[in-house]
Amino acid sequence: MSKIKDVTLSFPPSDSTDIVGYKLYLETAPTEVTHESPSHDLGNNTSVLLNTILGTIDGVYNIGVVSVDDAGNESDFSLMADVPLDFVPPGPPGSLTITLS
Amino acid sequence: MKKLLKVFLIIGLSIFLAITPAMSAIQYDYVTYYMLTSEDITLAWTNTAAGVITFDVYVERVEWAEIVSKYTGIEATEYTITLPKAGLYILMVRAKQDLTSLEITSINGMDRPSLLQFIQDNNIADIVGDITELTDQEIKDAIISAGKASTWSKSTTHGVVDGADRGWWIYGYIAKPGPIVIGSTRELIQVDVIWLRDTWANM
Repeated sequence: MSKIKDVTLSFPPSDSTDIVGYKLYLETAPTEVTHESPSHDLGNNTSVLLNTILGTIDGVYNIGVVSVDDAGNESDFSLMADVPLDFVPPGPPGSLTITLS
Repeated sequence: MKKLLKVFLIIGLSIFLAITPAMSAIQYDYVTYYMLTSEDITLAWTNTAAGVITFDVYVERVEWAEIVSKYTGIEATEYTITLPKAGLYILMVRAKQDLTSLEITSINGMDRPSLLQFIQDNNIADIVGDITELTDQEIKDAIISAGKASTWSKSTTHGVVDGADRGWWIYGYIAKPGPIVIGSTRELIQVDVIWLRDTWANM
């Protein structure tokens, strides 16, 4: 049975005082992240396990995180571009042979 | 009939040509200043009145047409604030002055219509509040407590902000989170193991 490495995304919180949560936006590179990109509500969490969002889909991603205030306004993006994420474990080694000398 | 139509057309065209440049002038004389809600903004002004003066700074949320913050009794000619939330704002300032003993004597001798006129002339209706249920004496006390106030100078008033011939809106937006960090749980565990090893070695 293979073991998939956990990949955690984290960030320091916003300085604004009326923040009620954060949202994560993802795009497959080279598409740039915008407020229309697929998003995931992070609630109050400032870290998230990417495996739970992306499953085992390998790829190179553009990632953006925004803060959200109590009126639903979203901040500018905190961005990380061209992030290679590898969730698929390598295939197992081939047939083992033992040679007696 | 045709002559009349022609006259109307000429008048209409003249009005349109006169209004259009004025409208575009108003549009270009306003600037929106963008800032984070976590940033400080300093409003400064000059004192144009003599005597002991304090100032009030109010923050109006434009979308709600509502005063959302009031800072009163300011003695300096500048004040630093932060915007309470994301949105479009106008900053406004007015001067306030206590009444002289002569003015207090005068107010104590006024009838109700004169008191109402005094409130209007001295821009203190919002300070005195609703007076419909008050007796004349209560109104006099409220006026004496309120003092006199100037009209408001607003950030959207031409020539007030930065001495430029234009007004300012202030738009506050929320701060983004800090820089993203991506790491693996395995690496975090590794750090813990190293910390444990070092701690153990130092014991």
